[in-house]
Amino acid sequence: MKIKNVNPPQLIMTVFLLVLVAAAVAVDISLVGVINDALIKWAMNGVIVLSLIPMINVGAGRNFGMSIGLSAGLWGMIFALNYRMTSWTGFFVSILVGVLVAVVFGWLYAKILNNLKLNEEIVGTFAGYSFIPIMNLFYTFVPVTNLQMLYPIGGQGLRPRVNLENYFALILDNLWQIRIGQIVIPAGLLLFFFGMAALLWAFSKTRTGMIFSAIAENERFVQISGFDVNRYRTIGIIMSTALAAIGVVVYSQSYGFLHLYDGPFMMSFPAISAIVIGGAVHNKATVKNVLVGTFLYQTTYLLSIPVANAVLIPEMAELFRTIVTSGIILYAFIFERKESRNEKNKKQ
Amino acid sequence: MRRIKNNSVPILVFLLTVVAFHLSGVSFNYLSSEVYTRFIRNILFTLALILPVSCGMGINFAIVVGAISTQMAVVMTLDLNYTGVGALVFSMGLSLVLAVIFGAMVAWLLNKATGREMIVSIMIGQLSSVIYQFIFMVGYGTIIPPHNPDIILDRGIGVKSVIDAKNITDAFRGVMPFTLDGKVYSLFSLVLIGVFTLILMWIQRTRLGVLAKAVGTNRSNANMLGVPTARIRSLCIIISTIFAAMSQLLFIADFGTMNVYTGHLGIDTYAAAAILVGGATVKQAKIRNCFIGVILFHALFITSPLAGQNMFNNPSVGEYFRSFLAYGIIVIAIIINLKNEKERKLANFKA
Repeated sequence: MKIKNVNPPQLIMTVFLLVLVAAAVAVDISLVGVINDALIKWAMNGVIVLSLIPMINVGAGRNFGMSIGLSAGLWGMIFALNYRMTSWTGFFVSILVGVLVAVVFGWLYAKILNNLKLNEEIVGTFAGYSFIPIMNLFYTFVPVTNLQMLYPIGGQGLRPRVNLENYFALILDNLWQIRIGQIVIPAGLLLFFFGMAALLWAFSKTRTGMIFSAIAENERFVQISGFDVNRYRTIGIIMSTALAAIGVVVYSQSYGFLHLYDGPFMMSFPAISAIVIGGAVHNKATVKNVLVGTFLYQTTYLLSIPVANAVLIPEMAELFRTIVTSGIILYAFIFERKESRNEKNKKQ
Repeated sequence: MRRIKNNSVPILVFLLTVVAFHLSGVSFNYLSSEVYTRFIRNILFTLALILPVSCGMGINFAIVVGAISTQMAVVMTLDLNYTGVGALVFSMGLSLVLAVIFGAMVAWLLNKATGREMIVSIMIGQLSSVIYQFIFMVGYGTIIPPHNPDIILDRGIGVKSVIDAKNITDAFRGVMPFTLDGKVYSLFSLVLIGVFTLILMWIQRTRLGVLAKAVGTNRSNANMLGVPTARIRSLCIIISTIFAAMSQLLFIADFGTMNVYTGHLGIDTYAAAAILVGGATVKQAKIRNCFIGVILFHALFITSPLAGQNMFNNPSVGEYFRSFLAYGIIVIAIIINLKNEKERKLANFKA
């Protein structure tokens, strides 16, 4: 890897990870458990982070309104659970319904964003925020018949957390586990994640994928060349929304719970932070960025928990994670723009 | 007709409030006393948004930073065991100093992110909020030596999550009291709000206010005419932060206790929603918008859960509705603003 390819956030996170590993070794934390968890966390959050790629590459900014896509995935799972679909049927029906709902949501989201070019991020943030109370109304009134999902008293409204244990919890995590000594490699989960990543990589090589990056590079030029930019943007936004829906299904099966209501509220910031750590810029993101960024972000957080507990201030891990999340995003907004502007000036 | 079109948002929210008030079944006295309390606690936050809007930076979600500086000052006042007028003067002075320092830092960051100030100000607010939480949850008792054991957690590290700000409240209470709906209120807060409103009106008329408007209308033109645009923008942000700091002080004095880790959260969204409900846009805001907006938004805020309770037998329905309103109004405001701008460009083009 050339030094030029390492961006400052990535460097800082790598150094920090090494420091944490050293600290973990110093306070006698078993690294085997950490490695096992890190592999799961990597793939579990990875698909959600992958969902940012199409929108960044089509020039629609980082998807701060990710909760729209996540809600679609939650719809899928509510559907599957309501008809008591278990194991693989439940998992795939959740994904299928989630993606179908995501296409509708994504289309509406794209309608809004296409009118607001260059303001996607601020509008996305608040569109995502305001979407959550709408979804909460839906969760309160949705006619669900499966009593395990409803509040025990009153029988109206979904519970904030639905246990997936009897449905499809850990179904991907437990698929094709490879044991090497104490280390467990969740091959099924990793293969699913890499499969999604490979599909996205393949997509970027297709004609549509090429047009995407051309739009991000120079929208005017593509418009003049006779392409319908808004159509491609709509496709990109729908893809992001659908991938987020798949991502939340994968996340939930690993997590073991269906987290409704305010669950998706703050999920976009860690994902965006992870992709920035991976080296994505505002109009270009690759699969490699996601793989590297998610691994660094999740593993650092994972390691910080036992270390914070060892120094007897358990809140530190969460605070630290939030500092990293918002600090990295802030960095991306302030310094990256400047760099790209400087490059433009140099060319002139 | 044009008047109605321009004020469609406040009119719509007013109608909603009337409906919600009717459905909630509360007395007018109850509503007015609740609205009065919320008005006192929130109006200065909303006024703090005016200057950044008029100099073209959009809504300054980083007013959280101002609230944080006051909370820091209050914790320190309690830590040093100040009481009476001394406590009030000390916390006010310290929060002013901190607000100027932090405001300058925010302005520095925002000036680096021209064109996307709003989202950057959200991130600044989040980051500073966690750093602040980190200082008081982890730093106090480890790096910073605590003086007052009453406000420290039992383990000796970290400030308690709720602390009693009695020393500041006492200084407020008893100054010009009056009664509304069976509760005693102090007129002193109203006097302070009046003073700050006058200060803001005065600032808008000074050189700074006029230049801010020029920067907001067209930054590159202003730059060419020799206006130090970056400096003007910084000053606007610093003043905005000071207003927010004073507002948080009023809030704490009125509330009596302080939520150390959560007291400053959410104020930015509510202030933004209130000013937009009052008919402001992200490019133009008047003092009038603040007053109308705060009253309308909070009247709806109080009545909607009760209305939801009465209509659907479910208080959370109204709660979801009001949080949808708070976030949704910001999206709508930005959409309207962009449309207006497009129309203006088209009109300029035709002319």
